[in-house]
Amino acid sequence: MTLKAPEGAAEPIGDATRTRAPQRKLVWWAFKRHRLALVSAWFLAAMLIVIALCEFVAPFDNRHRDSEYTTAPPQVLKLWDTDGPDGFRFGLHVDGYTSEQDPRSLRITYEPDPADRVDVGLFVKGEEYELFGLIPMDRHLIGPKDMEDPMYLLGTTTDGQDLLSQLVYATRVSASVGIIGVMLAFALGIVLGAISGYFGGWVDNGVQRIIELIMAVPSIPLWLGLAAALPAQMGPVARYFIITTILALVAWTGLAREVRGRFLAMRSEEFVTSALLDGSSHARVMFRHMLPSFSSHIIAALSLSIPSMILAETALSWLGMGLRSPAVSWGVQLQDASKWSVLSGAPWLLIPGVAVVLVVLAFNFVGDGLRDAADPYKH
Amino acid sequence: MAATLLAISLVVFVIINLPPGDYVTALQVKYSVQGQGLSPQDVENLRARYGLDGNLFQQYWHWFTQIVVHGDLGMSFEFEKPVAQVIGPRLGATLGVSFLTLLVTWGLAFPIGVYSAVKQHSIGDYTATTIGFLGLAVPNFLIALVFIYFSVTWFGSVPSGLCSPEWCDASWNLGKLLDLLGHLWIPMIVIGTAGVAGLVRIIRNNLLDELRRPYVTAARARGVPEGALLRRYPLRVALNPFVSTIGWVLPLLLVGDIVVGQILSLPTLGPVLLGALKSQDMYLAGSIIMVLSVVTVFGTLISDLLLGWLDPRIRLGHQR
Amino acid sequence: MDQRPLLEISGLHTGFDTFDGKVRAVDGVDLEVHAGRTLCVVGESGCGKSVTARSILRLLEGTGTVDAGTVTWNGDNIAGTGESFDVLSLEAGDKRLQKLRGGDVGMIFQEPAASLLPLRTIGAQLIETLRIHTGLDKKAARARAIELLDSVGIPDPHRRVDAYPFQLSGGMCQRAMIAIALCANPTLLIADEPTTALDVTTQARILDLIRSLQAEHHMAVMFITHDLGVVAELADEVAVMYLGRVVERASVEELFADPKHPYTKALLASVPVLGRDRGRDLPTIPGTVPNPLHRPRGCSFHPRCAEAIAGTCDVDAPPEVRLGSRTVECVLYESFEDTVEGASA
Repeated sequence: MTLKAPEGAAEPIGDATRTRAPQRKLVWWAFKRHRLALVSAWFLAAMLIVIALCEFVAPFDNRHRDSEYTTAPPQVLKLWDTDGPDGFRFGLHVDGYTSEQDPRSLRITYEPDPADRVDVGLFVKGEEYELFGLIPMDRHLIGPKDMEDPMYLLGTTTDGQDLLSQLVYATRVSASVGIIGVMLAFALGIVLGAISGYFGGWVDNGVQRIIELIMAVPSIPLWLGLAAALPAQMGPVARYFIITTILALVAWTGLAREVRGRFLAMRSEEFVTSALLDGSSHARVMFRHMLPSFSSHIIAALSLSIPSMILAETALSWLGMGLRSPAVSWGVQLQDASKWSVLSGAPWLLIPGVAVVLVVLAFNFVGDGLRDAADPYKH
Repeated sequence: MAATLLAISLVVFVIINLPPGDYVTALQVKYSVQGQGLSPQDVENLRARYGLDGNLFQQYWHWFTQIVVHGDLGMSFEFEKPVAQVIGPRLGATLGVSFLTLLVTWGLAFPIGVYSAVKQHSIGDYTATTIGFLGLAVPNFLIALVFIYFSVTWFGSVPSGLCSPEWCDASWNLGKLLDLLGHLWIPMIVIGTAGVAGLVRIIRNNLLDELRRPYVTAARARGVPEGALLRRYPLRVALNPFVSTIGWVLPLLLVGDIVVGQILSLPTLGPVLLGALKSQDMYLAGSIIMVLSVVTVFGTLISDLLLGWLDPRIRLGHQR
Repeated sequence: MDQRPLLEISGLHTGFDTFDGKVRAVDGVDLEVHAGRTLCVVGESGCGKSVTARSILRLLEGTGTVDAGTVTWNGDNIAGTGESFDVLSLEAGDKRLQKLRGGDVGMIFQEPAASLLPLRTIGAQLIETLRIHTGLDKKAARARAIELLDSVGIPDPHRRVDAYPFQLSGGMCQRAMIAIALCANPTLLIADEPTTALDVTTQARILDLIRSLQAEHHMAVMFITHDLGVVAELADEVAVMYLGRVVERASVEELFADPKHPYTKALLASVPVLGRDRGRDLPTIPGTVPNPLHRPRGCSFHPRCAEAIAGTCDVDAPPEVRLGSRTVECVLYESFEDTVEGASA
């Protein structure tokens, strides 16, 4: 690689700020160049805010059910109308619904009705809730000015639940399963991978055999098998945590391998020897000296493994083996869309699928951007 | 290899025994629903007959030897048949669909990946990369749902099963083959998309890495023409990880089968596994999981052998 | 006719597109390689010597492009088989480029093991090249391959012809690379730091091999290196490069006896001499090679130059000064033939 020289020279060495910047900054600079990753990072940040403020963002409560409007189509949010009784009128509103029953199939279909105006407001009074489980509030980011009016921006489910509100709550559940699951997997993976790579020998051998065993069984059938063994009458919260744990128990192996490889390669580096000679304990050398030196790689690997976790939860729940109603996750929501007869008349039921794709893509892009940026000295 | 299979059997046995109660308890419930109680003596006899007496280790040993010696996978509670009889006819369909999809996956992914790497930054490359990203991000059941939506709105129906009623019992001829292909393309797209997307990404990244290696410049410097250069040098190296992906593509395809089989009601293992899991018919579920795992292990073994044959560094025991 | 150099590089500009802008790795290089002679191109890493060598056979990787200049090959003219031509203006699929690469010009590289495909035997890669350039059939090519391996000093060539690169040592791989480079009897061998990755004793053996093969085949050698010891041992002529430009050209005797350019002087002063330098600090060149993206104004060496003249060196690029048969790019000298600026010499 004789061409290394001119490429290496491409880093503006003369630029004093750059040569003296700490690694964190270099990574950030490199990450910023990855336009898609940056946009995705903002998107995910917005998603985290929605997750935190989910009761406030959702127009209706999780359990809100309007049996009058089942499988109603999405409404369009309008800023003014001209066909009202007094001509042009400014103000946020949606059109109400007219319903029609098919005389043969008895199926009720809903159409937006421009004559029926439903006023919509920001920060309106709605159902009461407790923000962060602490602060009692009744204001919602957006909602109908009259609580009894229908405002279903993304339509309703077959049960007459507001798809938008459900989606907001489902995002909290699905995204957190992914994030918490990956955290658990990482805790396991880092500890076992670090011990395995650092000590080597029979410890390494033992851990590697366990990893190989778990990897030999295809992951989704294994997930399915473990999830199926859960008692059916289990409460939603317990189920949530157990499903997350099951996902993590299967997923930690890949991460452990990565960490192990890095420890193995780094074990003979001089700074490790000198830290040991300084009298640092093994744990200190491993987690204070070695781990930080590839922390950006770990963060990159972290955000790259969240998508598979989210996809696994979604598939599991959709198949009816993961979370179950009344818990609501993207997979649970999409179960509604699996009947052909329902889906053909209500394509908006696939909207949670769009959410899955967007969030998974965003995590992938952020992960890719981080992975490229993790080695600021590489290029 | 043998150790892996043994380990798999252990995991499966654990899964089978996780839910409370066993096959005999389930039988007891069933008979009491029908109004015929079982005497404790009957229960005892049944337990002995199915090897469910004794401690867990003895149970495992009984179960394991039954499989190895008699090929007996246990009884399916739902079907009231030996598990092997339930799985047998469907295994062929599953393997057939998976194998065909594997071939199509490779056939698509290889040229796309190579093109994408050789023509990096071209419109084709960007298209392939975008589709690749999407393919990895869209859950396969969602693809199936979208297909169903368009199929219903455009054609008013969904092609389900593997063959149309008029062809199913016919003997093999061109008509039946065409009919089969007509039914297969949706499952193949649904099952294969993630595999194609993943493979394209792997091939592209590998080939891009290889194209930057000194041996490419060196070969060019000695006058090897571009086409031969690509074929004989970096492609040879980029082919290796491609072969080693059988290990992870195969389970992906088998899992895709669970989803598609469910939606399109294919005569494959997927729907049976799901049904068995839902009704906690654990011998059936466990056996299917074991069969899928064993198929995966064999797939990995085959890919390891192929890799050894392709790569002298592995064949001659040299570390990379 | 004899006066004509085998290879003339003139006004070569080669750059790489990077995120921070265009890096001008080679910024106006003029060089000549004469038939049967050895030219050493010497300089620190990053000075553009490797990029120059690769530009000749158009082997630039990634975003590298030749932006200006000519590389004239006179080999066919000298041999009486054809006209001179500019390598850089050939079509990518031109037969002459194909014949040049590996035929008239052999090339060896810095990392011999990485320059051979690990999945094919060295014999397969050698036979492939032989068949491309000589049209021998499979059997004859194999016999010739064994001969060639023998001639570059690989012991037991009958067995080694079927060895994979990873089964051979770095030195053996470089010998195999040399065998491949020489298989079509080239008139020029371009050696791009061929001994850098090898240990010292192997280095010496490879240098000996190159020297004896050069005498045997009457070929010219363009040798890229950063090692002045190698230059002293091998070179007929020397070109010193700094930041993409040739700052001094001279015969090896002239250069070592009387270096002109301050950079050359500093380079020579930083080489330890046995006996003389015992117990004292070696002089070093202050500062580092600047980033080619932010090239200093005027003479690019002036920030590190001990003899820089304020108001001159940091304002205008120095002219190329011809001192008899040698040239130097520095304002400290007055030409005593005719001053030639920039263009063809």
